[in-house]
Amino acid sequence: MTRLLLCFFLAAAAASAAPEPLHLESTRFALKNGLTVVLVEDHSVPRVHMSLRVRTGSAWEKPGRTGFAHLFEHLMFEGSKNVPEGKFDQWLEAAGGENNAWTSEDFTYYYEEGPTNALDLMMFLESDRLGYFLDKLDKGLVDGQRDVVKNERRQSYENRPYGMADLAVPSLLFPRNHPYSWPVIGSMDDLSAAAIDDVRDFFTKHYAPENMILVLVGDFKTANARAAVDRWFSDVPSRGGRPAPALAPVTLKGEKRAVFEDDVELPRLTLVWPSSALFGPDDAALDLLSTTLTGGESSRLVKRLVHELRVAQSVSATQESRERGGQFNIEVLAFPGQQLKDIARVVDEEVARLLREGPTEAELARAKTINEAHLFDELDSLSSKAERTSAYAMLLGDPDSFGKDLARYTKLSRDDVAAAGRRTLTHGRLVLSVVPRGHLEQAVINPVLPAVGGAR
Amino acid sequence: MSVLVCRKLVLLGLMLLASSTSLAEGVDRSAPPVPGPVPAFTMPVPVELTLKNGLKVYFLERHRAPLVDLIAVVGGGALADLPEHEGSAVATADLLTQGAGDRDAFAFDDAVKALGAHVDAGASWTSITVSLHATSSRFAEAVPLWADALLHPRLTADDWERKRGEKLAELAYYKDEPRMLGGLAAARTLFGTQRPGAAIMGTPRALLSTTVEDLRAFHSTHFRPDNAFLVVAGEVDKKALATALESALASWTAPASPLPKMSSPEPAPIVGVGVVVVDRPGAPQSAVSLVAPLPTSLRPFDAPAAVMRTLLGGSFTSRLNTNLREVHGYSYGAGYSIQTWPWHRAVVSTSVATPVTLPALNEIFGELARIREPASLEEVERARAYEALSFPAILDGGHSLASAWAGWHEQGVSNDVVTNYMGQVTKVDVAATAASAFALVDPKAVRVVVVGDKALLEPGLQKLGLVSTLSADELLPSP
Repeated sequence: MTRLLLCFFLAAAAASAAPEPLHLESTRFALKNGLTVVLVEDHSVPRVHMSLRVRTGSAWEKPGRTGFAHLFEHLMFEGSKNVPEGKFDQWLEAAGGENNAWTSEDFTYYYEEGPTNALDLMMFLESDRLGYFLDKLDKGLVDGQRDVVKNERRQSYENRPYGMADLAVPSLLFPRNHPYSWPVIGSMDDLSAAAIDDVRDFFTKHYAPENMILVLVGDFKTANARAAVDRWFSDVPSRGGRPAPALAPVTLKGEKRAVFEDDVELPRLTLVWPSSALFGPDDAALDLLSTTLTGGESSRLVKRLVHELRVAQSVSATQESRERGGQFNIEVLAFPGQQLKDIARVVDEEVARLLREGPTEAELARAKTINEAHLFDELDSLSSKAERTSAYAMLLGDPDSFGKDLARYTKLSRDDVAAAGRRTLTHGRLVLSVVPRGHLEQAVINPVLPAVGGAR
Repeated sequence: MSVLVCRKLVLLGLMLLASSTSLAEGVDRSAPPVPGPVPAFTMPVPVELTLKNGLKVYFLERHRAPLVDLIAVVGGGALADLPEHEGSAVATADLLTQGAGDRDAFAFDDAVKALGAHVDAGASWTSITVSLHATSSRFAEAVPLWADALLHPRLTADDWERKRGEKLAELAYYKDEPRMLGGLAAARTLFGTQRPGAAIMGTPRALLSTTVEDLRAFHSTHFRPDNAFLVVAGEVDKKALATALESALASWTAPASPLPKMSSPEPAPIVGVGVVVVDRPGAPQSAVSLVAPLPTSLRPFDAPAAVMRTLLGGSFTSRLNTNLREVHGYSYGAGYSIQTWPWHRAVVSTSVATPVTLPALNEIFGELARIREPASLEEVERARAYEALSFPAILDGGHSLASAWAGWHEQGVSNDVVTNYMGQVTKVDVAATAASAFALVDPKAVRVVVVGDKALLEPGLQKLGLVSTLSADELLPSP
């Protein structure tokens, strides 16, 4: 019997004992068409979660067609040879199931979840669109979803405070034509330009089973699920896989400053540095660095800006990693009327001190513990287990990489964290100010220089 | 369709045919597979424990990940805010984790995080919840920290001064958030000067007139064991749980004073259609909601109402979402919700592109009228299957399970109502669905709230009903 085995070490109580690895039992196999499949039994709920990760996203779009990967994701629900328009959702809901999908720069991720008895239906729906999506495609479908996606863009960005500045970050941070240099949602003009031939082309090029990982987590018997996968997915044709070509590391020369006026009351400062890729050499250390900066009341920047100086509503640091390169963000939502250059100076002081001295032993231990606890939480729902398993299978080549993932963090020293910070946060960066209309004086327009007597 | 692409696919398919036995057997795609019998499921009900101080504990033992979720529900939320001090409940909750026992805000948070745990507090309209999320191995160590936040928060003037600054900034942010303004305008429209007509976290004016003494008074009035209960879900031994709780809560005893009372307001009945606009000149979208009171006789877990809600706007294939998103492309999504606690009201909400605001509203009114007619059997079967069969998903996550039971207990829902729910939903037919819609949905008595470009939209909105306006400053007044 396959069962979730959690043999997590009890850090304090068993400090001297050798840690047991964190381990999730799974079965991995590949179909002849190149589709990789991972099955994870979990009998805690009479449900099953099936996810499909496709190695394509906005980074694989053609010039003039930004936003296409995501528009395409919407089209995948509009029917296929044996599933008329509208029936994908209707049939699934009639069986008590639901679905959704997302698109990032690197991946497009689909899932269906429902009661265990709907598993064959879920596989039928998923495999039909993978095998026979183009059979039902017509221009009306593209036009309909184009309008939906344009409304998504309005709702998520244009009609939201700070939304337009957020959309500008990729083009400010990455060089022209770099695959990460435009936002996933794309531009309105490019969405208007998307044509049916683009859809055919994109599907044929990118929706190859060789570029996908299918994960099932739930209340099934592995042998039965394996037979069902074989039955439904074997007629999906091979279309030719391709790896993600490596990208040259990005660096910014000096400090690049951008200012947006928006209908906002609170000025916002965003500092962004190009950084390590997901699972890249500095990725884990930068996660711990971000926790040291803003993970908790006594973290460096929260303590300084929120508790002591009381100039900010909130501050967050994130290592936002992608398959082929990341970005390290520090974002401060300032109180009304605050000068962002003063805040930038304080951030710089704290970052410089942290890079010089490294986190304290207590800070490092705490950041590691927070990260470990987070990994446990990922094991407490079908969807998060599937998402992790799928990411591990695609990026690390092993679906059961919970232990390996955790080890990336546990092995790090104070020096490792500081050194990763120095490799990342001492190079050029983007300094983005969003200020209330008519208040350009609150923005960072000139280089951020240390205050007199300050450290940088 | 391009012949070339189609041929490519056929060719690849044929190549595969030569090598794949599965395809040779052939899978029948002519019709969707019909799901077999629904898996047996009974929602587990909590075991009841009573601590020595009389506090009730509802315990759901659960083995999946080595985690425990503990929630204290204390009666007295924003509905218990004193006049002029709206926001006290939320503010009190916010301060519970900003220093407690012999630890200040930094030391408290450090101690919690050193265990990899979370101690969180928040207020609803009717209660304050203080929750602990911890690994099973650290649970016993974390309980005293959680108990400190619950019983011995420091509530210092300095911490309140700081938190208040953060909250004023948060309220300033809300003035720029169209959907937040829409929610506030809808509440004001239904409740007027009653407490729920203002933001749950209060207004700048009220926060500035609130002192830490007010928050201390709020805490001491409401935080008593005869006004609270606990829910625990996760991988922990019942005996060990009782020991940890007894030891951490031993000093918590009920005072002799009577239990505090809380109002239970309902929106006033409305007649006709009225429109409220919050002006956002140049907005690319209109944030739209339609609100109406519901009969106060409607109980939680009303199966026909749940099926009707799912069909009208509770799932992706619901009529509102299909109409506004899939058929017309006016919106990214649209939904309908019904609320039976702590008051009774229904809300349609969506965001639509500015130029199609009026056509979208006409479609919404059309759907509100149409839901009162009998639906097709296929639609009702789909809606009831979706509603019934997604119910077990509540078990998929310890925090979700504990929160669900916390809410049900607070609302006085009996275990039987919960365990019978899936069966009840499965019995709802076409007639019951239409009858429920007829009783709950009335397109002739509704308030429409639009956060958008007033100058552009007003002439059209006047055709729907009398148009009035609310400003962000009226919704979130400063001193």
